[in-house]
Amino acid sequence: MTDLEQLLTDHLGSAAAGTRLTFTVDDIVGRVERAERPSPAKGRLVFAVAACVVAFAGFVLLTAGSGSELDAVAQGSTVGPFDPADEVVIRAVEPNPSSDSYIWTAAFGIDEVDPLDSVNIGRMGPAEIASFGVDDAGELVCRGTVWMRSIVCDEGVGPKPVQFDGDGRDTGAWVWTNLPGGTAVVHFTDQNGEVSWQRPVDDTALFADTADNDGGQPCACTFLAIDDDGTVIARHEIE
Amino acid sequence: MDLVSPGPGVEAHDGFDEFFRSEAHAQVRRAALLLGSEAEANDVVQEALVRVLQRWRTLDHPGPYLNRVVLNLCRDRSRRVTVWHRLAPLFAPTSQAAVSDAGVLDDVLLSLPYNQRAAVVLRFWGGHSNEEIAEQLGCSTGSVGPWIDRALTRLRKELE
Repeated sequence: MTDLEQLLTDHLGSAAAGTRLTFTVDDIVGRVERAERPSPAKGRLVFAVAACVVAFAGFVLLTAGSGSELDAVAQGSTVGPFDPADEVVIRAVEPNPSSDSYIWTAAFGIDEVDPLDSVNIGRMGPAEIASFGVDDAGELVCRGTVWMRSIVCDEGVGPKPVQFDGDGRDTGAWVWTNLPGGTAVVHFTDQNGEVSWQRPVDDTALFADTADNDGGQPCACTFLAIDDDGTVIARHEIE
Repeated sequence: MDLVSPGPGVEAHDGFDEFFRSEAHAQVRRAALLLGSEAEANDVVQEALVRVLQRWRTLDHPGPYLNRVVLNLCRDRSRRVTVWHRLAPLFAPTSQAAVSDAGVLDDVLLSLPYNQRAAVVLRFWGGHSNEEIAEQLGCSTGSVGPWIDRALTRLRKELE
């Protein structure tokens, strides 16, 4: 064991030793029992929530296509279970009507990201792309896998050959270098060559570079968010 | 003769007390190293133990299940926990040199990507092998070595 490893071992041991347990087994049992106890208010709450969901869905349907900036983004998109046979299955971000944040829709689960933070990171496989949301702290905040046929970018450099492990979780990425400030547009096209989704790279931008290749195995990626000046403002490593 | 038969809840929880005593504190300690916060660690482990207890009758191996839940919850929390200095109160260095090294170690450890941090904690605190670490983190064994190497390289560089 090296000196550093010994230092680390001692350090972690010291830190762990000072950590207290602040709850008891009764707290656990109590929480489970409370969770399992039927609540008379529960039914009413479920009904109220369901009613709100239905009302909200109706509102969304009625107001769809009203011309928001991101409507164009969503044009032609479908959201739902990913099926490789779908022509287009992507909807990266859309405004959250109830706040200033974006919601990564079905494609990305339920994570909510700040629009100033959100970056969309693509990575190509034969027909699959994994997208990631990385916040300004460099933390991965959401991840989703979508299926599509091709990707074309007006500006930047890419794609590089990538490894693809099939589950869309790691390795490979598009590499964009020397991003021109505010002018790049990413187009995602379907198998017919039609632009199905596009997004101006107007501020916090993409992307990623592949890092070391671990002996031919799926390798790490470092994802970078780059602002208009080409400054890296966020970084996240995916292993 | 005991006229009071245990209720279904008691039967359902049979053996959980012992499991709690053997696992809870160690899990909190490990979670604190991963999150840099004793309070967060207690929250995470409490939540994980609730999930274990809810499945107590159906779990053949509750220990590994608890491990996985705690590590996953720590991963989720670590995305939000960016206040690295939370770890500082956990340490009680005894010298100026120790203050310096501990601070650097804290900062670097908590700034590492989660998988690297978890691999380091599982190796140097838990004493686990690469295979065991891979199993707990749900990754390939080949990934663990490079994660630890990168973390050590970073630590070495920061301590210089």
